[in-house]
Amino acid sequence: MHIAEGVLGPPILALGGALSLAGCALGLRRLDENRIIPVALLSAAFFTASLVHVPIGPVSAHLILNGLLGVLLGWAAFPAIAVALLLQALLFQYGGLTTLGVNTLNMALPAILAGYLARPWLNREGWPRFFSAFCCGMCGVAGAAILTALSLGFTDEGFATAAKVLMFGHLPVAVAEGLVTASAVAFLAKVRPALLQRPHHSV
Amino acid sequence: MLRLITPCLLILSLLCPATPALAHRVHLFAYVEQGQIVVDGRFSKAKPVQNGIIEIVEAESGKPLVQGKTDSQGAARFAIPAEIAEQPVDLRLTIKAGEGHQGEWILPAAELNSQTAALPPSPETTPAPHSAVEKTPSAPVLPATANTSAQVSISVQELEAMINRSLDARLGPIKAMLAAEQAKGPGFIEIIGGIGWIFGILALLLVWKNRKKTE
Repeated sequence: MHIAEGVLGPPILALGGALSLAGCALGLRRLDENRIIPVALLSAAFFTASLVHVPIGPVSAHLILNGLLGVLLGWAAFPAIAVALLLQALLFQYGGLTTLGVNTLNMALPAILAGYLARPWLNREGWPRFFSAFCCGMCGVAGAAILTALSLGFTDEGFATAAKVLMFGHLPVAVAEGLVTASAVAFLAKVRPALLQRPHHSV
Repeated sequence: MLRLITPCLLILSLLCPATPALAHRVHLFAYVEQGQIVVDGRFSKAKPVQNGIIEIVEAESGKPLVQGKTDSQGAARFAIPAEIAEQPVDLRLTIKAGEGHQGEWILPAAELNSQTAALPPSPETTPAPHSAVEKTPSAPVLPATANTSAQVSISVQELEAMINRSLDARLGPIKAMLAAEQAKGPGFIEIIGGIGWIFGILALLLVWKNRKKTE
C-alpha cells in the first residue's frame, strides 16, 4: 500500500503531509523516554515485516504490523511508522518522499484508532483480550486499505475500484495480522504487562 | 485452545493467493530492439505487471505519443513513432499498475538514434545479405572506381544492420534478465542496514530527550 510518486495531486499530498506532521509532533511530545526502546523495536519490526515475504506453498505473503504498533504505542506509532516508511522510500524507493505524509497517515491513523478502541479490553484475560487485539490487527490493515483507496479516489482510478482491489487483496493479510497481533499481545501480557498499560497522559 | 487455533488460522489465511495489491513498487525497464520499443513491467519480487497501462511521452515537452497495455508476461512492444524515428528525443515511459503503483523509465535519444539510424526500415525489403558480400570481392575487377565505392558503402550499411540484428537477438535475454534482476527487491544486507538506521535515529531522539531533561 505504498502510493508511488506522481500518482496523487498536490492538495492531497499537502493535506497528508500536514496531518502526518501533526501526528508525529503529537506522538513525539507524548513519548516517554522509557518507551523509546519499544518504539525503536516496533519501528524496526514494521520496517522489516513488509519486506520479508514468507513463502507458503506456491504463494508468498508479508505482514504489515501497523495494528500492533497502534495498540502498543498509541500516538507514538506515528513517528515509528514515519521513520520506517522514510527508510523504505530512501533505501528501496518504496512509495516516495512526496507521498511519505499520505502513506504515513494511511498506515498510522487507523492503527491508532483501532488501538484506542481495543485498549479497555486488553487487561481482561482470555477471550476478551484475544478478540480485541485480533480486531485491532485486522482493523489496522482494513483501515489502511480504505484510507489508501480514499487517497486514490481523486485520481483516474477512483475510490470504488481501488477500495475493492485493496480490500480483497489484503483480506488474508488482515486475518493473519489479527492473529499475530493477538498472539503478540497475549505474550506481552504475560512477560511485560507494563507495555499494555495505558500511559498516564495518553488519549 | 487459543494456542491451537491461532497457528491453524494463520496458516490458512496466508495460504490464500496474494495479489499485486500487496506489491511495494513497480519497476519499468525499456529498450529498443529491432526498431521497436520493448517495455518490461514488474512488481517487486519480479512478478510481471499484467494489463498495466503504459504511456510514452516526450520527456521534455510531455507531449503524449503512444499508449498501450502490458500482456500476461508484463511486456509490451511499440513501433517507434515516425516523428521520433526521424528526430530522436528522450522519451519518458510510465506504467500505471493500479492501487497507487506507478513506475517510470527514461529512454535516451542516443539509444533510439543508434537503432533507427543503422536499421533499414524493414528487414524484408533489404536484399539478402549474402548477395552484397558476394559482390564485394568482385568489385576490384570492375573498371569504374566510383561504382566500387558505392557498392562497398552499401555492404557496410547492411553489415551494420546485420550486426545490430544479431546483437539484438543475443542481448534480448540479457536485457530481460537485467529487468528481472532490477525488480528483485531488497536483500538481507539492505534490510539489516535499514534496521540499523532506525535504531540510530531513535537513539538520537533518546539523546535529545535526555539532554533536555538534564538542562
